[in-house]
Amino acid sequence: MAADSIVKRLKAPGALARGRLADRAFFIATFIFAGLVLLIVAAIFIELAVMSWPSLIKFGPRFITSSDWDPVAGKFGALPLIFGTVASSVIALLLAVPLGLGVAVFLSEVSPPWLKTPVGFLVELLAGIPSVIYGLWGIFVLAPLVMNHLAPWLNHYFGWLPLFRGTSYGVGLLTAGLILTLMVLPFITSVSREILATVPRDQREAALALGMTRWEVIRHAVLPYGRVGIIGAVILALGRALGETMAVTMVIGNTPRISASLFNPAYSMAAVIANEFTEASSRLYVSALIEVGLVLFGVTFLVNAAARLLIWRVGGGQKRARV
Amino acid sequence: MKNRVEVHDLSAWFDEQQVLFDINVAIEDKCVTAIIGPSGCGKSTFIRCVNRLHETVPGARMSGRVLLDKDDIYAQVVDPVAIRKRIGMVFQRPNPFPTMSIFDNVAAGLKLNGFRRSAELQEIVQRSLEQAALWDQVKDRLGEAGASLSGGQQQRLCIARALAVEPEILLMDEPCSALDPAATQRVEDLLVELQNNYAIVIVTHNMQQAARVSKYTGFFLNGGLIEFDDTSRIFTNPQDKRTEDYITGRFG
Ligand SMILES: Nc1ncnc2c1ncn2[C@@H]1O[C@H](COP(=O)(O)OP(=O)(O)OP(=O)(O)O)[C@@H](O)[C@H]1O
Ligand SMILES: [Mg+2]
Repeated sequence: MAADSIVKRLKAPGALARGRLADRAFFIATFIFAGLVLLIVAAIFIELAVMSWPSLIKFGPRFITSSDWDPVAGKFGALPLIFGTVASSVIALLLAVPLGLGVAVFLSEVSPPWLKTPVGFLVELLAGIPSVIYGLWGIFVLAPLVMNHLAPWLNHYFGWLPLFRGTSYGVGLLTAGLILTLMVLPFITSVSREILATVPRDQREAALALGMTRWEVIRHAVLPYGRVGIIGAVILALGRALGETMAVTMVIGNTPRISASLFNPAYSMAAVIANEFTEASSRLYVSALIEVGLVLFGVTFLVNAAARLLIWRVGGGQKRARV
Repeated sequence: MKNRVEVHDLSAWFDEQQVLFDINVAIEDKCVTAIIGPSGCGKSTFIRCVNRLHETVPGARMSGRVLLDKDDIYAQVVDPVAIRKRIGMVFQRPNPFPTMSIFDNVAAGLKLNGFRRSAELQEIVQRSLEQAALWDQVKDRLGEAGASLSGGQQQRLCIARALAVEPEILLMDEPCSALDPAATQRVEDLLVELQNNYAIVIVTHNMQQAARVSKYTGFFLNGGLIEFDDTSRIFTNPQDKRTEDYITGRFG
């Protein structure tokens, strides 16, 4: 009887119309929010383009192909900066992906339960440390360590690689890459860990029942199932690494030069902007710095687009189970 | 006939909740043993104790002994991985590997065992899929994702995956619950064929199926094995009143 009347009320024309109205309002609201994000991105892009206009028309494409960054002489070639940003981020990812994924696998699959919470907490704490602290630590601890121990060791054993030629003075590309590794590690670990936790039990059991060892279960069932999400975690980390400013500025050496050896100082786009904006005296200098920002924006955009494409390719081949 | 598996005083728990109580039973070689009983009575838990899968659930434990060819599979020195290689399992819910192709799903266990010779691998994959009555439907799209199949096809894919590694004993947890009558028929035919080489345990809610394919039937109720006997006797002349109530449908 009571249920009957509820059904009647729900089916009443007024209720249906109200439902539809709410639906419509919801749709419009979310549409506006999404549109707003697009708008903001577009506005940033346009603003950057407008403000860098003097430099854009003066240097044209040479701005990103020339490696001569000499503000005093009025020469602005951003290639070394692009190189510094990309190279330090690549170093960071090369180290942080296996490490972060390893920690995530350890925490979700291998670790005894009592160890999970403290280690997981510590890793997440890494994400909360301000980057200037990383920078300080980099200068006072990591840089001497690289100069006195790591660099000589690498040079001794792998000196035949151009990457490890020469001597290190502490600050440089390698140190920046190492700092970034630490900084992006928690992103990779905590996102991957959550991804791994969503892998259904029956996937693990399917693998176990075939006689897989614990490692084989992770390798053949758990990681493949979570691969799209893990790639997402890596993109997040990459975005962070590309844009990181403070810590990198403090340890990369701030020298606009492209060199094969990771021991040499370099410069990154974000670091240039942070360092030189206050002392930019001429209109051209300012607009060149803003154009660096525009390029950074573009690089980040490209990297993300490429990563989306990768996810789409990987995810496209696998239609999710429709049980 | 020879007993492949003997279960002695098997009890099982999820955390503090006991779900199996002193089960004693023997699984004979080269025949089908059916397990019947109402939902939640512990059928799945029982067969999952036989391939040591139960213990992989956090908080789950068991006591008692399970002998495979007279050897205690729960003995200290025994590696559960080795046991699971010998005792194959088909799950209640189809669980193909969604990122693997149909072919790779079937080959998953074989590749593990170092199978690389592709001609032989292909032969085994084809044979397994044929046995699972799936080959005709997928032979032109072996490269597609396993998850692109329908629920019933996924279940047969899982059957093929289990058969491919040629276990000695096959545990099947309601393998036909997602299948149409024709596919069910093919799986039952498969069981009849397979029992020449395997010891098979099948959990089923379908009395007719149990009556059709099995030589022995065990009736579980509330975690206890109420009755275990020749299938013909269970269905014509059960000794226990509760068994009779269940198979005649007078039971909840
Ligand atoms: N992962 C789990 N954690 C806690 N309890 C569980 C778990 N799995 C099963 N149980 C409990 O164990 C008992 C037996 O479950 P089991 O899955 O063996 O039943 P079943 O006979 O296979 O039922 P069905 O016919 O519905 O598949 C049930 O009471 C269930 O609630
Ligand atoms: Mg069950």
